[in-house]
Amino acid sequence: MRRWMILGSLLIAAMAGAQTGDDWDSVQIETLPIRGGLHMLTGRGGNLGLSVGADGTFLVDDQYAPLTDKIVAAIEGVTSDPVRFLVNTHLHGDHTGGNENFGKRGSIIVAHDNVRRRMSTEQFRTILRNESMPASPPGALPKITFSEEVTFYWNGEEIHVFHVDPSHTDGDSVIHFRRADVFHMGDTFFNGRYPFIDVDFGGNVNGMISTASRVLAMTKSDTKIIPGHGPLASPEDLRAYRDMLVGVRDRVATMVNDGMGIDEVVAASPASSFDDRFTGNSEGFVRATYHSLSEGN
Amino acid sequence: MLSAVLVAAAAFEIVALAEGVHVALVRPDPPSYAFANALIIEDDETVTVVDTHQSLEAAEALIDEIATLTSKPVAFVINTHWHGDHVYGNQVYRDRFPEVIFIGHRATRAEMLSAGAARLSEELESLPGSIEQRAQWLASGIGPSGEPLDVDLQQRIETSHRLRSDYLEELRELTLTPPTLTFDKELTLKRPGKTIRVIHFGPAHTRGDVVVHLPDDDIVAVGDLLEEGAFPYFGDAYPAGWEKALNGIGALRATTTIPSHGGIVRDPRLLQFHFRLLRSLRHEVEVAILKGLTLDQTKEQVTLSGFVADLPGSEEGVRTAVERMYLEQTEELEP
Ligand SMILES: [Zn+2]
Ligand SMILES: [Zn+2]
Repeated sequence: MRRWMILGSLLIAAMAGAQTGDDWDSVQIETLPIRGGLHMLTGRGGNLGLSVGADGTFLVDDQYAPLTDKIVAAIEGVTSDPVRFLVNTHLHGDHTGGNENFGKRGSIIVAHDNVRRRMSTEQFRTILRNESMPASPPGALPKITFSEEVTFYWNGEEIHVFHVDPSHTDGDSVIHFRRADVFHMGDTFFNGRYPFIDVDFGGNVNGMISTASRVLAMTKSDTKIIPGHGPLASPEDLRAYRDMLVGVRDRVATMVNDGMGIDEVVAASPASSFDDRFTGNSEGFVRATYHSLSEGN
Repeated sequence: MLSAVLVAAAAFEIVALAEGVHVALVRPDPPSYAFANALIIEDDETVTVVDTHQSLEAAEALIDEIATLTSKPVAFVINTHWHGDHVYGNQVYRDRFPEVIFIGHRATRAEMLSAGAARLSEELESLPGSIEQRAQWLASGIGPSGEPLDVDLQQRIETSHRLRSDYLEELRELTLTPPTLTFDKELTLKRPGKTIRVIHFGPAHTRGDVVVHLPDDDIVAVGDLLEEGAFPYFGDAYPAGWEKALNGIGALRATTTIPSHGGIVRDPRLLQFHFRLLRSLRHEVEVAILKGLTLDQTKEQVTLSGFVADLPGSEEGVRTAVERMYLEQTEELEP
């Protein structure tokens, strides 16, 4: 219960782009070496991916602005090279909050077209709740954007950044470090937790399932996966997550077809059989799944 | 080396197109291995260059020219496709600007590392023979068709001998430097003060052509998707795809178009010419296929006589174009 409260408040903070009155001083950035010059960094907010090597430092996501100095210090524990490229997996503030700081330090921010588009103007939520997210300052916006995919030949790696079906949002990218065979899935994957599907920003449960399946099909037994939130994952973890998504989606779809309203669906607890393996906000997930299935088709 | 660079500098003319945008137009005379026009895009902090010449000396010379325009570093190089006259100079940019990022379509990288590498080896193998032959013509005073050399022909052979010898020396130093940032469909560089769109409309002149569009300046650099003054080169082309790519270029409605070969284009005639050429090519080849003609028969029958008038290279060019279209339409071209 406590875990989902924390996660829930983080997501709200992220979505509102707000800096909560939290005590940033207590946050510690942990560095977990994976392999092939790749690391996973954790602090508060989305997990970071870090690639170091001869060409320069390559970072995936950057958590919140007040953590930039700590993140930079953690990176300096691995390499003295500054961050040259910074990829945003999507627009939420727990993944992009440090953009402006890193931009000032000379990092080039890269993301899908829709990330820049949504960050450029005030965004409104009307489905999950009523709120708005202010436009980001120009310095925080991605400077290289793409419609489908980009690949960086960098640090001896092939870093394949590809846009996926609308999953967590409509601007999600998955990053595959092909040589080391490590993925960063952003918030299309919460390891061991029910996902947040931001239907107001174009997210959809069907896309989330297709993204999980697509990445799963690319994995080998030894593939490592950095999830947007939760511990470093294996393909088995991703499979369990995908199967959970499919199970809940199918149950909710049946209920939608039977004409049940959203509160009835929530009351029927269609996710409860997965509670032994997944923590987090199952109600929010069920609601977003309902919206995904009952709108626009 | 220095004098060679000076010679190379004379190979092109820098023309201003808009605030911060210049084109280096290759001069037909004096002859050089610069070959392809380059676009120079200056933003508030850096410079982006589109295509890098076939000759390393020309690339050096262009970088020196850029330095007279601005002290900003070249941060991005965009390659419109993998042909040598668009990418061979990349390594010079890497040497002069170690942080430079090379951008191209993913097929451009793949082709550079396969077909491009093969073509480079072929050039290295065939050039010494062609240089030697020119030396023999000059030494014997007897030209290619057994005629005694007059002054004019002797000069042209001398020039060709010198250019080829210099070029061979360069090729021996060449390291193919493929794009380090590749993409599919579309990439946008939001530079301070300049937006640069890089768009792939599908396989066309090659598998990985991109155009570089400056929406705020209404300028598009189209690589070899439009060619002025010569019959377009179809040797690596997907002609039906090329026709579709022309639609994409047309939809941009840019007022200024820069083909890699030729001058600045400000009216639609060049695009219309390519439309008509590719439509006729497709139509005539489709008819031939429907009639059950073989590839060889089709190459004999489809001559595109209305399009070849004064264009150099058309006779062989048409045969290649017909062959590529035939193979594409019978699904024998690998995608
Ligand atoms: Zn997140
Ligand atoms: Zn070409």
